[in-house]
Amino acid sequence: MATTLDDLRDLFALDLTGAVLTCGGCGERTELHAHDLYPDAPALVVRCPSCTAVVLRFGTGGGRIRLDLSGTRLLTVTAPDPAGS
Amino acid sequence: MAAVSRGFHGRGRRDERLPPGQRDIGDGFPVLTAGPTPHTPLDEWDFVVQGQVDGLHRWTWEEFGALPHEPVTVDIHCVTSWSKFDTRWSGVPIDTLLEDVETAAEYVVAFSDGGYTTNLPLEDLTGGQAWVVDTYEDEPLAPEHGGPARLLVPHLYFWKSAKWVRGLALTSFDEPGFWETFGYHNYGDPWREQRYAGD
Repeated sequence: MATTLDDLRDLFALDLTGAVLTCGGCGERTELHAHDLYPDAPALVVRCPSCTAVVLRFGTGGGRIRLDLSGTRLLTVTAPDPAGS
Repeated sequence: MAAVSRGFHGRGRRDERLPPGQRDIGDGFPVLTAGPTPHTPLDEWDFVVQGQVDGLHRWTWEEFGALPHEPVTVDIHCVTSWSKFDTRWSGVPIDTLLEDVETAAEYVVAFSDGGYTTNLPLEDLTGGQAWVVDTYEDEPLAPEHGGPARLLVPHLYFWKSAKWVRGLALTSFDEPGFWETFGYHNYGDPWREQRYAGD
């Protein structure tokens, strides 16, 4: 079955703290919760613990939710129902 | 009645200095940081003006310290909605740093240790509106507040006053910086409450 944009809701409905991010800078693979977090900036800034590059930015404000993953090469999450994949 | 009237007058005067949506933080000075605090040794520090300019303009820490400094007392306004009145700094006017620079550039990207950048129109850095400051409240600027030196552009939201600034890249095109690429306003005028793109 073809993958559609509607399938994105499966990703964003998951708890991402156990997701593995591959850093776009150095290629290191690290679980999201093991990254260096900077929550006191105007938005949450998540940095690679290996090379300190920004891998993710997340912010809420002005009536919008923003997510920047341009510093992440790959985001991997275990599917909730592997049998259905 | 008289006491009530004085209270209203006092609050009125204070509010005139508060841009819309801001609150007075008083004596506090929150530290907002998007990354580890750099600690560049002063003998490795320099400040450069580069890009669309006639050659490289560079000052070592010693040379920067020898430039004429001026005291600056200004109100500052953070996009996270706190404002702080009458902050006292000392630094070198950007006008001084650009004095011998020939350029046709209209935009600037300020860049910092740690990789932070922010973009501004060149005309917002000149005419006595901006400084590179190395002193706060008569003390060397602390690393958590951007020391050894930071940009100070008090008429724009404080994210434009780049901490740990190391130079200015002059360009003919506008290149959004760290927060500007994340949906924050490209210009950031607190009096027009330009927090986010589209405000």
